[in-house]
Amino acid sequence: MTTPPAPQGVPPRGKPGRRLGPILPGTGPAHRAWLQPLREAFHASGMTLVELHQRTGWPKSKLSELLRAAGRYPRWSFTRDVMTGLDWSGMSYEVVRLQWVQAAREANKRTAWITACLAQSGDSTLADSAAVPLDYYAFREMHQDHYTAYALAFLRSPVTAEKAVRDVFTLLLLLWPDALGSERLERYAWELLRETVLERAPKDNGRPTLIEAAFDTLALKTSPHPMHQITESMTLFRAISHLPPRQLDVTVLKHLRGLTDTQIADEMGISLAAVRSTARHARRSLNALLYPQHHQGGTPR
Amino acid sequence: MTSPIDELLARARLVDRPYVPLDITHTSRPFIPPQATAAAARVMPGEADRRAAADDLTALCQTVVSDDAAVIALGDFLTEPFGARVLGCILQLTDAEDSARFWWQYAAGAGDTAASYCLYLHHLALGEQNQATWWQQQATPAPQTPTPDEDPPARFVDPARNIAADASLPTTLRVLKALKIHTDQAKNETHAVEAVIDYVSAAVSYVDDDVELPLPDPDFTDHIRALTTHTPHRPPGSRTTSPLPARSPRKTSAIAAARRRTLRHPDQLHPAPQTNL
Repeated sequence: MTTPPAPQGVPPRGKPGRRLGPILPGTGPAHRAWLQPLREAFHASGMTLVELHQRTGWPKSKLSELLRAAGRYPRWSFTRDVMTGLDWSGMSYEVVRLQWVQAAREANKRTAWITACLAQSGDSTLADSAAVPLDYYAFREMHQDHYTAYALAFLRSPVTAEKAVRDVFTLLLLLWPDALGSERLERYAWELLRETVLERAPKDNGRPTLIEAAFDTLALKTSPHPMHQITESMTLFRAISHLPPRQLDVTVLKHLRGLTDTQIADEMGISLAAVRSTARHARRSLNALLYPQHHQGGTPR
Repeated sequence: MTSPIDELLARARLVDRPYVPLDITHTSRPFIPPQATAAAARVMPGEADRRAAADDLTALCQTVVSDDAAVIALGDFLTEPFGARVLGCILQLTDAEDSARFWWQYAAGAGDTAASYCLYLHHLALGEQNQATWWQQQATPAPQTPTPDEDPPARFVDPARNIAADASLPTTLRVLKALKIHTDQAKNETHAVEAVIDYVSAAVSYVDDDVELPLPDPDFTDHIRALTTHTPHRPPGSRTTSPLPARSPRKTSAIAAARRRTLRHPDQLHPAPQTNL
């Protein structure tokens, strides 16, 4: 039995007849980052797919898919089982888990899916444990409340909003080394929050909508014309929903949640000047949209 | 001098901790992955949830009933699902829960989504989670597919009463609850409503011990109309400004009226009095 020509990127095999294909082209770098060492471990072990199947209990076809990055991005429990089947070959659990999370985000998996996978494997309560890095702990304490305020604007239910923020911090803990190594920690974390919240926000035409927040305004509580107030708020919030991301976030934090410019800068990880400038742009956009005849000094769109 | 946009933005501030009844949140959020929220939210209906559902149902019934068109539709409750729904709401307000359930089921069977929603709240308030969930599914449109610019049919709201920008049912309910905050507005309507409610509670009874049908009296329609005409009505757009007992300008014909009479009371022979419009 002749061995077929070795496909690119795969180290020479020991046994003839093994037919593990290469990593699928188009697989992202973060995914390759954990998959490549795993494949090398597999080949170094001399195991066949059948043996790996026997060790892990997973079907051969699924194992083959995982090893080639074919099919859907694998769940954490599956990945972990395969690692265990290969005795982890010198790799650290935390490192692989971190890489798995990074690759999951690269594959555009929703944060809800990611945290659900982690929960399934008992990995999601680690953010609750006492053994978290002090700087992470401090960061969480500092930002939790405003993160929750942002989440509430879109998600409205305290239960849902708190869950979303908890998931954000779970992921952040896992990605902490990554976060610390990023250009700006606050901005890294903010992006994670934004992604998580908007993914779970109700959608209108595929776009996250703020409309239902129209029922939660302070103005409504004292308005003599509630219907009118609700209509006005809905119109405004719909317009806000259409703003580009940074303008949307600044507007939500500033006008819906009442944060100061400095606080906004701290939460979003941008400069105070950037906050002010963004707020101005947002206001101009909204003005042009809502009061087209009152154009005040902005360039017409 | 602040410009309009600044004033608008000033009114955008949200309260710090909005109270949102659990069921409303989840009816309007089909995109949250089930496993993430199921554990957190779908707990067994506790006392608080049931009370919230009961409050919501009361708010809904009150508003359904206080609409001009609603009480007029009552006259056609057998042929108009809307009317049957109204009847159910009135009965709910007078604590005739079994009768209410019957008429909502009648309306829901005829396709009235709002009646399904009433039943959802009704069962939720009783702690009957399974039935509640079933009716909730009946009340919700095709799930999980974002419908782009498809005009939301006025499922709950009568076409004559177009509420704000979004006619979806949970949103509408929130609107109604917001309206209830301002009771002076509600007060003007309560006279007609109270009269109708009082009458209905007396007029609907289980006709026969063998037949579990909560049916109203034969003169039901006329009485309803009389009650709603002679009480002061709200401003513009009201149809009932004539001193004569109102006749719905819709499809009431002698035949339809006669058919109603026949359905209700096969023996009754005299036709409904008609006035020239």
